[in-house]
Amino acid sequence: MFKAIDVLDPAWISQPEETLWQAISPLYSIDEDIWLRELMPLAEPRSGEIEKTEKLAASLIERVRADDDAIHMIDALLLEYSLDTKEGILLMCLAEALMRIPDADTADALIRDKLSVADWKKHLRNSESLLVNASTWGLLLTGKVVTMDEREDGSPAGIINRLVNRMSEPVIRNAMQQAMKVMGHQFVLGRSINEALDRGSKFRQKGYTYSFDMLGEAALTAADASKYFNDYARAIDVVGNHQDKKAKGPKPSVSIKLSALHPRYEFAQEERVLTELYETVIRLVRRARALDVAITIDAEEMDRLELSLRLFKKLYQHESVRGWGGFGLVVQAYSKRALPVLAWLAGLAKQQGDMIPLRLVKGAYWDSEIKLCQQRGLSGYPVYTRKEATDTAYLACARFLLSEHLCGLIWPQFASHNAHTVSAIMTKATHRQFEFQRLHGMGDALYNKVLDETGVSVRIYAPVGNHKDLLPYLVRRLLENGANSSFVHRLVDARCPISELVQHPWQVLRERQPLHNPKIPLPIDIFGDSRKNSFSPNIDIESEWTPFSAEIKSHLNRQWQGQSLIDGKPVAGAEPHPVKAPHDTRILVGSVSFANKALVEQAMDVATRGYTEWQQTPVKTRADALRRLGDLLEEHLAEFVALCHMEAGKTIQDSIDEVREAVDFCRFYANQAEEDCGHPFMLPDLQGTGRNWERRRRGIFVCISPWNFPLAIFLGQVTAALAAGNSVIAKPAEQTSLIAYRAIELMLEAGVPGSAIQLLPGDGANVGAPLTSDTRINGVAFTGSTETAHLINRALSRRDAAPVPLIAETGGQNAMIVDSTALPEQVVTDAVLSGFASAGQRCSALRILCVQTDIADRIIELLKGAMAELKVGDPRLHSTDVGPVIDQGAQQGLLQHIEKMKAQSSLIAQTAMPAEASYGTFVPPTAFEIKSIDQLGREQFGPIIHLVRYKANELDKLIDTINATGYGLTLGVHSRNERTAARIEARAKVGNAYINRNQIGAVVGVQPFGGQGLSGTGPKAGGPHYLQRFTRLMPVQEAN
Amino acid sequence: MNPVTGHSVTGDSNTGQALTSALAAWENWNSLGFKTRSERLSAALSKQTLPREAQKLLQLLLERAARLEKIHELPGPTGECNELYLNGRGVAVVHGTDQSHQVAFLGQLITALVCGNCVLVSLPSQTDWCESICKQLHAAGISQAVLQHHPALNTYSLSQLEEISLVAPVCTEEELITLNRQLAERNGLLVQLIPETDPIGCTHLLQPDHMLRFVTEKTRSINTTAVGGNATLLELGNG
Repeated sequence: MFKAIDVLDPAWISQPEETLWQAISPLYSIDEDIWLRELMPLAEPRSGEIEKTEKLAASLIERVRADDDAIHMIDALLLEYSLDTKEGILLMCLAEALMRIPDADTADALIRDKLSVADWKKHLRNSESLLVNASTWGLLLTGKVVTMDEREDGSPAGIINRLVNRMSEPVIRNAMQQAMKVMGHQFVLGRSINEALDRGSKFRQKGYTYSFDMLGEAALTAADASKYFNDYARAIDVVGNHQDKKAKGPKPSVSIKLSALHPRYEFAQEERVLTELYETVIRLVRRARALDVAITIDAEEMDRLELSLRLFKKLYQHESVRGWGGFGLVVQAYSKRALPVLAWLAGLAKQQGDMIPLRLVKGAYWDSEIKLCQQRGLSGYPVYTRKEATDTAYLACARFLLSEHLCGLIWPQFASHNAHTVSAIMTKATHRQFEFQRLHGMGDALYNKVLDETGVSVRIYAPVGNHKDLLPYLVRRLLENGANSSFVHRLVDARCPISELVQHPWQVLRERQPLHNPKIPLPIDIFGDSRKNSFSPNIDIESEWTPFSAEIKSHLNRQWQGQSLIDGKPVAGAEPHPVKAPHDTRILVGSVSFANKALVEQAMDVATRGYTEWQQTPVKTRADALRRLGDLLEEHLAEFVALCHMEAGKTIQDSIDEVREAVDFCRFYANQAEEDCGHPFMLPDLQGTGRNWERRRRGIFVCISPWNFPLAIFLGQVTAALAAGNSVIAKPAEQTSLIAYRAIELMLEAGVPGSAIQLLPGDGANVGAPLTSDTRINGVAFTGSTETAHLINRALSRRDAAPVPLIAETGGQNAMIVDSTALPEQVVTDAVLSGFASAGQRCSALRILCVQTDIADRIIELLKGAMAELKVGDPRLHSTDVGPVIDQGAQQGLLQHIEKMKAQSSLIAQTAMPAEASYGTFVPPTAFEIKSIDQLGREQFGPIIHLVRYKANELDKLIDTINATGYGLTLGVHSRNERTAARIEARAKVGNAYINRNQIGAVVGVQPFGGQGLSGTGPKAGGPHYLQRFTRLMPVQEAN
Repeated sequence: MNPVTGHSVTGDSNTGQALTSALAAWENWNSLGFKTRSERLSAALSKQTLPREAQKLLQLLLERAARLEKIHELPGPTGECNELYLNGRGVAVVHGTDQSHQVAFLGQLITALVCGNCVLVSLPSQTDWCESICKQLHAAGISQAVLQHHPALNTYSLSQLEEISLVAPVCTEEELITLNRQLAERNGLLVQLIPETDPIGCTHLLQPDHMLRFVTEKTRSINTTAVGGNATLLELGNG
């Protein structure tokens, strides 16, 4: 492992660049305690350093607090409306959404939603700040008025109040808009770069300099990227040509955000990033160098770090940058990879001889990083889980950056609002070849002192742009990542003892046991002791992707064979037929021999014998076998990913998710079985006498599964039935028999006896029909079309036998409702993922995008642009977003629907197809605008979205129309108005509602999945009641 | 006319009308919640003179149903809120045959109602008694659209009604097979057939699984980060 302390040896950075590079990626999610023990010696204060730092920090804080003018602007607002108060959150939520709402009714409704539920009065006069008190008065008054609206008792007073409210709504709205503008004014230095320069002039006279940034959402489309490019170019021109004779200190610079300059700035699109984005940045760099405006590349999410470094290296070594020393970047100290990144950069600078300006920040995406890792089941966190660990890492990085041997190679720019961090750096530094940086509107008082008393340069990082776009962006960052704003509050909060603020983080961390935060479980442990979360490698990280990718490749050329598995043995039935890859039907994947009627009979006999044996197996033994299967699936992850590519046409991430879901099912149902089965419990009879009952297996279950989740749904049904003690006859979809065959092989290896599980690949006529008409069958679990569910139901009912459970998961006609409070970029990102991921072949996939008329044009514009950026193609490639549909039948049906819709509606966009698509069964992602939902008939199971506009006052009618389709599987809602979202969710007759996110990817045990109405019978897969339906309750004395 | 879809409902004109008003009443009835319905039905039944065993059964069912109001909070990643809760399925038919016993029939009826379904009831062998039960429940505040006595309903007419979500008969095993076959022939929703075939002992009604079949599950997943949900991480503190 990389030895942290080695970086202090001047020889370290003289190693070949490739050697230094190799140290970075392996630290991506390294065990936090191991790495911190490695890192801490580097941050350990030298003799006298602690006392000196504390003294300096205390003196800074005292002087800041003594300054009457110290608490103002955002500091004050954040202090009073801290994100740990309800009012703080509501205020920020309002600021995040209000200004973008074009229609008055929706804006008023949002104001009511946010202001009527909080106690604004308690904030009054707590703050000395005029801004805060003015805001509080406004919020208090408006909050009171809007609260009156809640009185709907019909009393005269209530009616009058409501009338007053109606009349005053425009006034309130204008006041709130004004308040948001005031806030925007505080957060944003200027609406244009000229305004920013003007407003910044007085700070420049004090000696501050600036780094301007045209912040905003990441670009979703080429048009947005082009707009940002122009903004940056203009900023460089204006800054470069601006003359401020009174200004002191260094020349201002410009910061750029790479995700704003390219719509696909992500690891999967590395080739485009290293060519298209590279060219774009070079154009900016040439301009900047000509005008001597330094450029800094901002840091973003952890998954983009390695990609950004590769791009940085390519840019840095370009002739336009060589010999300049004005091209730099940002490194986030909360990243476990930060130190080797710094060492690599220093090596690069040493090799080339050009100084790299380097802003060291703590990191602003902490909460999002934690959430993402938990969702994806990654190996660990790329960031530290304790604040003091980040602070310690920051100081370790600072020690390295302040090393004498880095002078002239790296120009450190220490960005922090923490008085202790600032003091520690001042204490550690043996030279003054560095600068500090702070955010516009934050830390003014602290840095005024620093500037006055140390002579070290201070640069202000200043957002520039339209308040309407920028305030929501900045506030969203605060809302989503609020955990890092704490020091600012405490610095200016006189109630907080100074001694608490000047503790050295290294000392605090040293006392922690363990060094990581045990309250934040690792991604694999988020379900506590009950079960392990399923695991996924991070395919955007070199050290995880490279070996995983190699392992997948080793399986890609295999020829798989599948047939029936009866009593644990492979048995051939019909003549094997070839299996072709959906993405390229010239590729032979293997062959499958379908079962015939004789094998169905044979399987039935074995299953009849098998359930007696299996039901007598203790529930723990059954559960353990399924847990072993989960572990085996994880061990064979790469193999299944390869098989999912080749047989089902699934992309890499889809394939990983497929396996993860199957693993989760194994573990979840194993637990459920132990919870539900094998324990007698008392139920009263009609006379009130208690009798012992026990949950027992039903007998033989037939599991009929679809091709769209060939492993997850297949094993979900089978493992639930088995866990409950039934024997199972599984009929997988004809198209994905190889995956099912391999899964059952592993199941046998895991310890499920051959008599308990029979696999019969084949079609409905030869396998499904004889199974479902057999009187020995005690239940059927089915996922597929509503029509087939009816056929199965009829077949079961025609038997001369008592009705048995039919657990059916069927189709959907899934909608997403978007009102004008929603964030368009988020809507389109979620719609594209919900509609086009897995080529739209998910039960949950978005089919009808319902957008409030007031924002429909913007949504359509973004949707067009985002669809133009999608890549359709070979599912084996990391760069592919959309793979093929399953077979020619599916393809033809979808293409016919597209042709029909072209004649009946307006085509919004259709993604371009690569030439090689002609070899496979591809369907281009397509979006139409339709006039009415009534235009749609049955579900189209592919990558097609139908957009329909609705008026704000017709929301209920829209919900009625969606309900009227009769389907009820998933619904997406995008609204910042929590009451609106709740109302839609309550009224919609669907099984799964998703609010302010995409509507696919239900997680086992977290989002139990299944529909109502025409979409299914329930109970929900992955929910607490599913396994019970595979059982029946029997009095204990009869149970055996 | 189905008030929700605007389409014609299936069935003859009488049944169609009954179905239309039941469908229209469902949303409000369902939105009352299990506890409120349980309390209302409990109050309504307290005014009835019922056999002791019926009282016991219904009390048990109403208490059990009130517990279904609980929202299950599900574990998951930070920044998300995931919940599972239960709703009524829609319109139910509670049907009895000659073999039906009043206690079991009442049990099926009350279970269907308390779970948030609107109910069409039919007990051809005891029409007067059935009518009087409905009247008493109406008098106690259960709306006429939520509970409708529809004596003309038989197994054949049931098989014509596509909008029915569930059928809860009290019948023999043999009658059940026939009913199941007829229901399976219809199109539309896959109807839930939830029988009580032990009209004397009410074995099925007494089992908790039985009641769960009268409801449908709903999952809601909220990304809370956009509305300040990450305060949960802020609050975690250090261990």
